[in-house]
Amino acid sequence: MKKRAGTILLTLLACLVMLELGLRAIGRSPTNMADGIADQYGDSFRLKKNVSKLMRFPAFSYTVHTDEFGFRDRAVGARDLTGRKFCAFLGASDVFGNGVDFEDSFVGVFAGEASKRGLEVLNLAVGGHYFLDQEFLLKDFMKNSGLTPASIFLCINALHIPKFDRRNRNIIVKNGYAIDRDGWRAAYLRLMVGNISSAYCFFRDAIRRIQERYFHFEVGEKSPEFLQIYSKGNPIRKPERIKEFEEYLTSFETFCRQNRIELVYVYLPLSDSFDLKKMIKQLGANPDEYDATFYEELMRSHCEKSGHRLIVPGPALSRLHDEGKVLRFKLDPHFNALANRVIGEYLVKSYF
Amino acid sequence: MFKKIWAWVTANRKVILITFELFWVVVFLLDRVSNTHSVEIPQFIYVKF
Repeated sequence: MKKRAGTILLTLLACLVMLELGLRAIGRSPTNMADGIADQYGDSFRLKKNVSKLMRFPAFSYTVHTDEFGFRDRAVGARDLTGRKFCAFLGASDVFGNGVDFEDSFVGVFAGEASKRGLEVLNLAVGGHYFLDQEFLLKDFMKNSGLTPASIFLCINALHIPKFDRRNRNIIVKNGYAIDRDGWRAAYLRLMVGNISSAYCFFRDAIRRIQERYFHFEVGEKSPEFLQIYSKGNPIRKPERIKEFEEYLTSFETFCRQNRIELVYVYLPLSDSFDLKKMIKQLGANPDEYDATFYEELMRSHCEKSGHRLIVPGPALSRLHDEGKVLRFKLDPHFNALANRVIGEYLVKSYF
Repeated sequence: MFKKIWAWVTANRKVILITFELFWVVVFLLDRVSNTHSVEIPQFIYVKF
């Protein structure tokens, strides 16, 4: 019996080695949605200062450089902003430019044009940050550097409005990876194995797909976040939540006014929001119960009342989408270089 | 060394073949599940793995 079990184990091991080699040969490298460039920041995380790292994913490869402040930049090193006019972009992964080099990100495109006009650009955005994380990072930067941006571009998307009062807590950073402190060892082990083994990723992804399709997945309360945010039943649509959200925006506007900072809102649609109706129909749900326009209208209404500038590159992206252009990476919902360029050019056109 | 391995393979041929076949059948089925046309739900995961 023991001999048979040993034979089975050895055969399985040989098969796993063959699978690993085969997957790598056809280009299916190990993958994770993590980046390894995070630094502990209290009980939260931020980007490491002065790092340069090539990020390799099956969906894309790109390079990240961070400057002396720990913000994504064109190159590693010092940024002399003393006496110079500069603006700051706040946001999450879409503003960070996940998947593209800095020059190809919309902030990079904007920065290229802004520098010709004597305006420097800082990109404070970090993938996974909420509004409150970004606000804290901005205030910390202003306090420690003694510098104040002339303008702030607060980039808002549908994913983050419902979580406007949340911030990252209880985070532990290991080897540059930000992980929930609760049960971090198991998560870190999975992450490491996912980083080195294509065979592990193959089984993990297939099992997830089966679970999603046959066991737990249903459109409703337990449906993925992407669908929930557009559901007409989402709590953010309740008048009291809208009031709280607008109060949060007002408090940030007051902070900007007190520091003589021009505040510009940028509403960024999610790449897949253009296909929302199609996706809902394919899932067999009722498209009338979902609405992709709510958040944009909410921001328009707020900016009309508060008198703040709002830039919405959505129509420019929608035109591209209608022409059949691909706006995202195949294996990742972030905007690709084409969409980033269109957003960047739209910002330049709208702002200057 | 090679003779020893070959002798072991020959002695356990049936178990090795059945394990090998089952493994690749499972891999084939899982690959079919992963590649079959389905609605991709975008998910942004950064912290919770």
